[in-house]
Amino acid sequence: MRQNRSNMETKGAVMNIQNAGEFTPFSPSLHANVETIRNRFGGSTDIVIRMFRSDAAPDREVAIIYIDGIVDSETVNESVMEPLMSMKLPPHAYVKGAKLLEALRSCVVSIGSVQVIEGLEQALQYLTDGLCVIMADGSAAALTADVNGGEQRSVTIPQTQTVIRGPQHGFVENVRTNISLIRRIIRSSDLHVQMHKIGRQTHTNVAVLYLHGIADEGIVKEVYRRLADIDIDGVLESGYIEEFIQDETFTLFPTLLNSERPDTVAAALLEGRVAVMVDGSPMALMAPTTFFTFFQSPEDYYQRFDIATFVRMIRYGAYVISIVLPALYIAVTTFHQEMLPTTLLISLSAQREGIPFPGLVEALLMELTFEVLREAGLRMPRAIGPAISIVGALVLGQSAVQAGIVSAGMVIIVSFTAISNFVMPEFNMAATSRIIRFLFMIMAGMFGFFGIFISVLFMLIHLASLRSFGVPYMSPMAPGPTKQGPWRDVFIRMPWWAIVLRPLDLNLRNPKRRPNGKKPPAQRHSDKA
Amino acid sequence: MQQIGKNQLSILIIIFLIGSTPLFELGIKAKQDAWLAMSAAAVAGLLLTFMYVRIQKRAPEAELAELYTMHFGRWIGGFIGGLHALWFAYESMRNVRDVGELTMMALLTFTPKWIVMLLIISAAAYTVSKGLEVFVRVVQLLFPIVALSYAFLILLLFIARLPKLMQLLPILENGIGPVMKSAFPDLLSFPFGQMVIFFVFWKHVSEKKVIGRVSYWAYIGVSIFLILMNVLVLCVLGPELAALSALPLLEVVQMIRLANILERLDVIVTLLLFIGLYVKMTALYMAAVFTLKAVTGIAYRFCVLPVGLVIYASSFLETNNTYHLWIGLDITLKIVPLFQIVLPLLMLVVGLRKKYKSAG
Amino acid sequence: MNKWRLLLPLLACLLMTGCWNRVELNDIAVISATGIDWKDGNWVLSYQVVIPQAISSQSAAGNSAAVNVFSTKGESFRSAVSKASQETSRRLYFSHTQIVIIGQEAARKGLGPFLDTYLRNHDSRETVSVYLSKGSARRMLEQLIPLEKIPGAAIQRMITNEEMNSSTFRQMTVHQVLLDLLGTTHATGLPGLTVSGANENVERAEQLTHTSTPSKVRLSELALIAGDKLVGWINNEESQGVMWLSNHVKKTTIPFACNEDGNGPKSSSIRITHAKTEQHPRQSNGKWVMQIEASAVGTLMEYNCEGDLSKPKQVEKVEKLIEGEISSIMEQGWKAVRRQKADVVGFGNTIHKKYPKEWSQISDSWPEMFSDTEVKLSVKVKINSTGMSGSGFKKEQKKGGK
Repeated sequence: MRQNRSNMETKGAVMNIQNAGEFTPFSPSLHANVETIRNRFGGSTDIVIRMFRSDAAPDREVAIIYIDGIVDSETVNESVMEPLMSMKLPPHAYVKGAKLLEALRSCVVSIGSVQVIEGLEQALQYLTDGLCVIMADGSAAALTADVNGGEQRSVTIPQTQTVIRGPQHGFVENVRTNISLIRRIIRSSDLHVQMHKIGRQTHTNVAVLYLHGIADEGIVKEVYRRLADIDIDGVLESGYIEEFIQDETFTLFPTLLNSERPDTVAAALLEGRVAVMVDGSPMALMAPTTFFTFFQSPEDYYQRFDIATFVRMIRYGAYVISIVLPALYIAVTTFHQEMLPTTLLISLSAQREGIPFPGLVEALLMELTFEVLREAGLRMPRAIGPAISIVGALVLGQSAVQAGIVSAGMVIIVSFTAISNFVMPEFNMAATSRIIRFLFMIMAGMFGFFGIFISVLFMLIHLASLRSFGVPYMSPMAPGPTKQGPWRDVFIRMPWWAIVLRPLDLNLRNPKRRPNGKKPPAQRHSDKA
Repeated sequence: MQQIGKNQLSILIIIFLIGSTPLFELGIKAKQDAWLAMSAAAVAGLLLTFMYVRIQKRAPEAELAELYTMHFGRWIGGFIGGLHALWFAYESMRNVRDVGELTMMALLTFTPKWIVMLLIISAAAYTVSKGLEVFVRVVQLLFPIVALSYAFLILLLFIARLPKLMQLLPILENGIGPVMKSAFPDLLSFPFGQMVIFFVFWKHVSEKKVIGRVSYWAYIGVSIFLILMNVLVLCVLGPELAALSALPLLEVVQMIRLANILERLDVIVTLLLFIGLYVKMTALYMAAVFTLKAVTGIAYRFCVLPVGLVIYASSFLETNNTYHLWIGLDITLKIVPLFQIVLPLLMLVVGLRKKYKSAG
Repeated sequence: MNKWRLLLPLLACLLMTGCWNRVELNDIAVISATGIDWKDGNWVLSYQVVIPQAISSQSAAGNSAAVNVFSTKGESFRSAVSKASQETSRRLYFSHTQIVIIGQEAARKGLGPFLDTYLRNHDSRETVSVYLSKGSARRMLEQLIPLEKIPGAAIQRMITNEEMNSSTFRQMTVHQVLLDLLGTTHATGLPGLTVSGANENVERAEQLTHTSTPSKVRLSELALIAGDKLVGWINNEESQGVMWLSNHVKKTTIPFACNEDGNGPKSSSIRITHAKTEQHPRQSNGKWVMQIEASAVGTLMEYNCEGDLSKPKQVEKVEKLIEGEISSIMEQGWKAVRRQKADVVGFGNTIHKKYPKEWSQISDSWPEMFSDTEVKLSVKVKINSTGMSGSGFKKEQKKGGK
């Protein structure tokens, strides 16, 4: 019950926001209303206006208006058009004025969600949302029926975040479908979904999802506040929203997690996070997000915990490598040669004989080349993908070494760095290391290890100063957790029965995932045949 | 107001006291008994800490400058507070300079000092501008790095079988005299007496009740670690070589030679020392800013840059390393007890009298 | 926004100032070994520079030598080093130096300046091992060594091998030398290097294409250093005795004779796998008595004497023989160091640690007192295993002949 009420309330709230600008009441004349709507759309040809008289009310004309292509035409025909055309109203309902609409709503239109609206702007809004508007001559109100539908991509395997074991479906561009995917995982009335419309022109549906009683109320309110502050003409992807609601603009580090996997979003909701979904984008945003969240793949939780822990360690290592390895190589080979074992030093310097560039330039050159190759690989038509990899890997790498432009050691370093970068489960965190790497390399090229040290220090200070919706970005490491629980899922993934607390160290109303002390008993099987 | 937790306090104490201390073989004037001198100073330092915590408990919400004005009145207290702020800035400057010298000696011999020091002071200024919470978080992030690196180094030293306990013999060769002489006041004032800085930070601890307990345990833990490092350096280098070497810990680590790969780990040590120096420098810098703010009433964010500039500029006043060390080990040590012992002691006494007055 | 405006000039500064310490790998000359000689009032420093192309597997190795040796002269060490830039295209890089060879003349002049440079300079590793050569140090650097490409590294490996397997010499790093010379006794022993064989050098890489080389670098004799000067040499057997006395024996092989008086051919031998020596000083009528207690465990390697080794009695007898042999080795060593009055066996150190008060009185006259010290030896040997056969081959043959 409460669920419904709150949904109603927010719908009202949304409408208030929408109607704050202008409000034009309908005129009693159907023709005038239809003309206004037609003119407002500039006579667009995809506006379908069907006017007719039915037997039940022969003196009053009824119009059905919808936009072709975004409604489910079958539903329109079967549930709206047909009952209206052949309607048989009971005599007591046959009254003048607005009562007719009331009668249509309660007795004729066989659609679940039907509403009465009174303003022209509302009508326009619902039309663009894919609803159909029913108007009758002589009443200054209209009915909307939810016949949303039309062509859309079907639910398929996620393109960017793949797992071996785990659910194999991803979000699509329709926010309603996406919410339904979450609903199918979390079958609880505590899953609250609230819609906002953002974008002066696009009026994009933005849904906020959270688990009532688990998510921190303050953070939910903060999400609403930040969403309400957005004023932009259009929202085409969740990235728009992300830039508006993140805590800090001048940072390379993402403070919102994004995912196209319903299971990831469901897991985040269960952890007390708030999810934001945007119509038109298969990427959901989740907040608050800490640094360490980006190293957790959904598969960590589906695999055995020991393997997951090992893989997670590798991920942390790979991230560090993808940031500092080229810088370390530069620092060691141009500043601290004494650190190399003698044999390695000799073999490296033999490679470097005849290389025209200093180490730093050589490294920058190779890294830039790699970034170009990578971008080319992303943008080019799929069909010529293999060609680029051959040109990139074989021709450039091999021949650059043979031509004596770069040393073989450098090629190894650059390739390994690049591969390490692909280990990250979250693309936007992996992207940070691509830029930071260059800063590190330049600092290492100027100051050797001292430069790397200073860069790391600045990076740590920056990370420590970041927050995501008020939650320190580096928690639960800095500041450390107030309870012991959150540690169990940061660097290592403890077995599920040991992860008692939710990872966010907030004052959650319901911090426990499960009761204590429920370790499964050791199973004893007798060996007797 | 910015708040830090009790775990954060203890980590701050640990890293702050470690600072650059393992860099020098302190108390080497007592030769192979340096570690005894260190222990004696540590015990005395613990007493000092007791005293500090006692004073702090009288007004848990006050920081150093406020304590001074509370005890000595507005003008005298304010003046002393200002002096103390200057003192913090000076100590911070010494750490900046240490970074410069260390880099010159161990890492980048040809790079001008001004740029090295500029980089490290800008890191410190960046931290100070972000405030205490961020600083403590940075320290928390650095802590595992420091702990693991030291553990790794110590492990390697033992695997390479470098420490020889024999080097510590004979114990107390010349009696207790030289030990005490090298322990007081030198070792007491650096590093142990520097606990005085926590007058500035205790105010920000969220759980006021436990500051005493947390501080004592952190202090005791870090003292044991420092004494252990002292012993380790002695055991590897022997008292003579340890006394001769400018940076004994670097010397020790250079000895590590395992499997032809783990050589020249001194760079790691240098970085460890940089971490310690950075934390110490930033803590002192921040303390100077806090105290200045409390004395003058200028807003925190306006104090950051001027104080930083003063620290940076003054780090060039000493002409060379010898002068730097001489000032540090001879001149400074004569003034330090004023701030670390005399003033807190005065506060303690004045506070006692005030208490009696109010009671009677 | 303000922040960024402040950062900009800083960045500009950084980019303009360039790279002060930067040295590319192909701008340095890696030195694998250094030689120090003293000639006509000048220090002559010789460097063995590694030529990377000749070693790397990438470029065709061919038959060129992997190192190049040259020398510079100067009144001080560093001035000699800095003169190197007048004849090399690359900066000399000392951090990878493996060994330092000191010529006899230079050692008589004193090691002080050399050790001081090591303490003062960051790029000199103190894990470098130090050798003395009887001839000029430069000649040692010029010798090529079979199997290894870099002679400096080869000598370094030679001493490690020696230290681990026969313990006649031990590796003396600069650090170790510093510890000894700054320590209680101000004396140390350094392994010596000579070129043995024909009086011809192995300088050309072609010579290594033959199955044998006319001459060879080898470790021989221990140089005794007191103060910082060379005072004398002792031979290999005596050196082994010194190692036993000072508890530096790790693994070694000891030949012994069948007779109890130690005469006769030493046709049997034992491989010592664990050895330990303890020094217990005590004072008796103004003289110091040093009780040496050595214990060793080993495996019998060859046995050509009488007696049935399957009987415990016989094994005990053999142990006695070996004990006698070891104490005679120690005796030799002791005599040698006593003659030279150089306390390289660490007696002074032990006394200092045990009797600090007494030591402070005698420390000045220690070199004299040292040679007056009475040494009492006691050796314990345990034979772990007599190898895979019980009694000797000859004995079995005799049995069969009956």
